[in-house]
Amino acid sequence: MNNILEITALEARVTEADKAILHGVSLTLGAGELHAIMGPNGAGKSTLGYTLAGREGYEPTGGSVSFMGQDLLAQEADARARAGVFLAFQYPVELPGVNVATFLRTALNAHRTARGEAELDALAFIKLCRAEMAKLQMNETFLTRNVNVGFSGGEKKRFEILQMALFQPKLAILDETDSGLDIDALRIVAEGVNALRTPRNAFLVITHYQRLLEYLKPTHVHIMAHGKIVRSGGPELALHLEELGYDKLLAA
Amino acid sequence: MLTLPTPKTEAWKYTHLKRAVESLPENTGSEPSLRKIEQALPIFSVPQVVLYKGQLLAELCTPLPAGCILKPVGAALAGPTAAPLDTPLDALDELAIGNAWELHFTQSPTQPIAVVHVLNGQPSGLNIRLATGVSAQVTETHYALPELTGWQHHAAVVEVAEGASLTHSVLHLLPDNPALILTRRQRLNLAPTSIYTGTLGTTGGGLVRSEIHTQLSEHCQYNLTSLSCARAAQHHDVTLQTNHSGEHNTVVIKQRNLQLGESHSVFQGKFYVAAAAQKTNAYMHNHTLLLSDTARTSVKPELEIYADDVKCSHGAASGGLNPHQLFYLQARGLTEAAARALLVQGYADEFLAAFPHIAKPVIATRVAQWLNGGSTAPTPLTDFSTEWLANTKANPEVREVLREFGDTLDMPHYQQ
Repeated sequence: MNNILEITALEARVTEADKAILHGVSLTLGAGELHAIMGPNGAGKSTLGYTLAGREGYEPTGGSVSFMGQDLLAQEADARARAGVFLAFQYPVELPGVNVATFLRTALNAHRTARGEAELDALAFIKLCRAEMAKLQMNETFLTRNVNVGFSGGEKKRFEILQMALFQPKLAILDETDSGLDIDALRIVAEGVNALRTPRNAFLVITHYQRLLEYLKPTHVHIMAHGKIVRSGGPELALHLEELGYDKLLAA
Repeated sequence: MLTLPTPKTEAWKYTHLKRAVESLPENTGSEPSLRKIEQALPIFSVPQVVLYKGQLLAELCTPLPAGCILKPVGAALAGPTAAPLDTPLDALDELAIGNAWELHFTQSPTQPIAVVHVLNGQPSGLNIRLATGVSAQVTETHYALPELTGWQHHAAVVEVAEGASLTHSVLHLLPDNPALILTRRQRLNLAPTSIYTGTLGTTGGGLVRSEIHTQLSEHCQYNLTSLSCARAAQHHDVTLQTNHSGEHNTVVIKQRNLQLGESHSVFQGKFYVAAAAQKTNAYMHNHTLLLSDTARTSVKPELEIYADDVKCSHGAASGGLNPHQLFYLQARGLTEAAARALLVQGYADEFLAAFPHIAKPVIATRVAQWLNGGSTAPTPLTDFSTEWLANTKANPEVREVLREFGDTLDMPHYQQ
């Protein structure tokens, strides 16, 4: 099996807090796999996501990350995105005055150009967008709004999934995409993610709750604590965790 | 002899007009031909008036609708109803006497009116008067040929009678010429229950100062949205004095400065609320986006309130682009430069949305040029909203899609 992502003994610090957060994370995601990362607050889950996505201020200090055989950490955030890494934000950012349609088309064409594909003209773009939006049960007036401005929590997360559907990443990192969603929205988002799963891509899903995993059916589950992966297993690990809680599970 | 203001005068603390005027080079440009002016003018698809050197350029004008009378003002520019401004600089307005015109609306026109002031370095003026209950829309564009150097002062008196409503856009679309100074002072008198919806757009020039001195009676609505885009060493100053004399006036003033290079923006806004002006609801906000380390802004909001039952506030924010926003876009595959451009365009578009339909494309084009480093090439970022719609609405397949969408494909900032 081909590996999409190989993280080896990754260490990272958050420069603003001047604090080391990741203390040797090792993780391999094969093609077609969906890995869930769970863990208590402050374990370093989001830091792992940001470090992989290349956010400024999240500085790798040791270890290596190979993405599709390339050194991921050597690339800027935008190059990583165009190479096929997608981070669904826990808190999607509002962009006042930036129209959703313009944003999506600009970003999509950046991806297409990087893949050597022709840019989509406006009509082809609209058709593609409409089809994907329908799957996520998104109202088409979305296209005329400003990015994330005045979106409800559910709308923001759906919009993240819409972007993922359009960009077709090889690696999608979902940072607590389930937070702030009601049950229906959770199901729609989860179905959106499942629809994108192929034998050629991989997902890294950061979550606190078993409920999302009921829909997503992870191939692997990891528990992170104190900047390390402390337990790995199959879907049963998440169930076990739900039962015991972090304290008992980690003590056991 | 006119004494030019220096920073010793409080109202000119951040704008050194005397120094700027005295350092102007001699204007050596030859008289432009009518053809040249015509080619350079912005195009409006509505009745248009073109004024140059105090004269009407009749060849470039189109007939005005019924109820709209244009005539020279002659010797009494300000007219008997214009109260003297509380500043030592009223003499500036006297400069325009003899070159000024008046646009008088006796009934609501069927179309908006476009007025183009072709700058020539000599004082000019235009008054606008709306009769009782009249509703009108006027877009004034101050335009200069690239080779013009000098200082132009423009004086305006705008009177909106009882129950009348004026949508008034003032555009300063000047070439990126450091040796061009424009000062514009507008006295705005709002009669009871009148409505003034103003937009102010400024790009280019060396130094531009826009003053609006507003006198509110009672139950008036006064909205002003102002966008300034400056680059290089350009200096853009917006100074607003708003006097609330009666009850129940509603005022919203929003200023946004987008700044590159070593540009300097100045915003001075004052609300004076007299004891009789109870139930005033007034808000003023200034937002400055500093896009270089050497751009500067000077902001001075003031509230002077003598009434005890009012809601009156101001806010100000200035800084660079938000790193969270930049990262969000970079994480979507945009290069840093593309991300910055998209964000800045967004900040401009938010304000462009307030401009009336006929003014919007003209100012939007100039903002795009400002963003592109002064080049005249259209920015690729706006094509989806404007050119694409214009080019493809004729396509039957697109019409089909548009029908299904209703109007939603018309981007909000290009909707009237």
